[in-house]
Amino acid sequence: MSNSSRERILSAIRQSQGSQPATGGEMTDRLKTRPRGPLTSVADDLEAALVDRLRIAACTVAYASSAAEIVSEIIQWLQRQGTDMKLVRSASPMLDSMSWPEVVDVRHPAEGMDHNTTVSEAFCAIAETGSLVKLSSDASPTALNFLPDNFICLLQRQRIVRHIEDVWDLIRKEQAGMPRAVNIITGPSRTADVEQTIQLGAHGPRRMHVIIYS
Amino acid sequence: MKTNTREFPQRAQEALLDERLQAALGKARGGFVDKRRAALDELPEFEQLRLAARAIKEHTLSHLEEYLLQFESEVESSGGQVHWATDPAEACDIAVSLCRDANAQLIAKGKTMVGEEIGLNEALEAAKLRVVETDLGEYIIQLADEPPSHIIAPAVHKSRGEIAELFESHHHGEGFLRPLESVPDIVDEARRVLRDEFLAADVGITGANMLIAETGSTVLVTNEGNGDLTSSLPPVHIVIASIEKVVPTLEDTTILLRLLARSATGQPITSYTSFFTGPKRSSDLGGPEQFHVVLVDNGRSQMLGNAYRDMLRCIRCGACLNHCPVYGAVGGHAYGWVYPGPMGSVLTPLMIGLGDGHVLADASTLCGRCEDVCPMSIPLPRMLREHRLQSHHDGLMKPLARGALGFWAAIARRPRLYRWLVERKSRLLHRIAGKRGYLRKVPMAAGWTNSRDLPAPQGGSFVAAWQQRQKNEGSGK
Repeated sequence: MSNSSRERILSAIRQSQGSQPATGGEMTDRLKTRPRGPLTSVADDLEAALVDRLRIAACTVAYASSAAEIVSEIIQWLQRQGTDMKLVRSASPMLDSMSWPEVVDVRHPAEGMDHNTTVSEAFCAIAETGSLVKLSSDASPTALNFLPDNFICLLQRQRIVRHIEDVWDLIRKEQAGMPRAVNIITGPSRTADVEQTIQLGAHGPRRMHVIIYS
Repeated sequence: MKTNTREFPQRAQEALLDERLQAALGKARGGFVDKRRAALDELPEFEQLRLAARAIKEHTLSHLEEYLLQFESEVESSGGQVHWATDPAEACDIAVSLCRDANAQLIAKGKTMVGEEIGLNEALEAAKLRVVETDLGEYIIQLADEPPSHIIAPAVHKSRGEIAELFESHHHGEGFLRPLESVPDIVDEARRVLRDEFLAADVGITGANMLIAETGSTVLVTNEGNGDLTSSLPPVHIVIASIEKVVPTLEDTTILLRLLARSATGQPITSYTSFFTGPKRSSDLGGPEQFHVVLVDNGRSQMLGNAYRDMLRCIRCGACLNHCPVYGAVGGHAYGWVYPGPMGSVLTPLMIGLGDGHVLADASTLCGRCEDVCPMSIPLPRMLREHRLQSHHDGLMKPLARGALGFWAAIARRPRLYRWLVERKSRLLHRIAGKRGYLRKVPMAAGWTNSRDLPAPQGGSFVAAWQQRQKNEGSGK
């Protein structure tokens, strides 16, 4: 049944196209050349532009220059939030190299994701929009970006790109095709469905903390 | 879904007198318009982007068959499946049988307007499946058993008090705050209730803002993160999307994204913009085992060849609703079907038939704001006129209106008679109005005079005055 529907839809499209000349060049060309459209202007200092936008999107931002500094920043941040010292961390060379003090209960996602805080690392960040990009993988399940109250995301300073288009080039270069999920994340979860009032923490994280390291 | 489009005039009347609704609409109106304005003030490239976006869609529509086939083959090579549905019944059947195959009992749903269009919830419930809407706005109207009143803010017509009442009557159990008052408490309660549903759901159904032919990805734009939980936690992910959502490349997608959120909520980008490509990879931690895309036609392949082709560029941002004086006055429910406002008044008659839908084409002043703000430059007023023309041809106008229009046309085609009558009429009105200069009541025009006075003509006509002036100038030489 669905096979004949496919034929019916495609033939109806062909019939409708009959009266309309094709415009704008050939399809295969476009898929090969993938032309970029107009870009928005972004300041030269990508990091400053990113941080500005992250703050507008209600993220907090901190800096670190070593694994130890990242660990102590995370502990201080958790203390400031008044939340427990339990977290789930995904994997990355940086995350794997970090050693945690006894007081912090660190789990891998495979051991369960019901802790209130997640620490993971971004694939890259976009200065244009103030976004972090997360890819699903064997080290980083997508749900980990959405289930916790507190979402802490590490970002290597060299991984800031100017425009969204640059992310696509980076994925084409470094990944074997599109991963199952690519998440462009711009701030904590929010809703304005009750009287147009913006409220953070609708279904996903209530707080998002970005640690830029070099 | 039930259609009540024919009752637009009565429902509009009721809406105008509904104080709660008017208060809710008043709050929404300025918010959307001001936020969009502020976002565009920071985007000098808006017009360039608009032209580029239009060209992308035009190109894609010109090659729609090829791009859909390319999309299908990419979905399949990433391990997913594409299903084709010509009409709503078929689309629902496909979704229901996918759920049955998965032995599903509980379905978590993200917001999908195409899902509303095909009556998906009713079909799933008829198949004894439990459906939970996870977008907060959709969840609210699901509890209230109402259709959405706005395409991006489904519960925009509800006040905080009404939402609190709904929650209090539906959520029972330990630890709920009563009475429920503040916005954060309302949102928290929904989060808590829906979190359990996400974790228990057997199938997640979402819509798609775009489909990417290059990669076989579906794109989902949300602020709450509900769409991502819906598509990542349950073992089956079903995407419902209409055929015109396809775009060629990731680069093309990016251009539309730059326009979409700014036009909708005034955000440069929403909190979450997500790209789903196939089911979980064998080594992935988490993610659905199955990934299905249901492509819905429902008349769109016809639109491609007729006067409504431009409508297929629509990206469902809702800017035309937010800027429409009629929508702003009566809200979405008056329109009586799924899509309200200017875009709805164009789409609805095409989907449910002109017989039921033609009255919506009249629910517009044709002021043109919708076309001005449309990021895809869709000529909505032209298409509304097209519907009016067709409903006139089909004899769908009320006999009185049709007769009156025919009478006017007959006279207007005889300029001498027309002028003679106009002069008589304006002198008569002038005399009746007397020194006051306005009329309190005019026969057959109560709709106007009930709420205001009609200024009376000053006597004579423009043509007569003009001729007099020409004569004076001539004699003055």
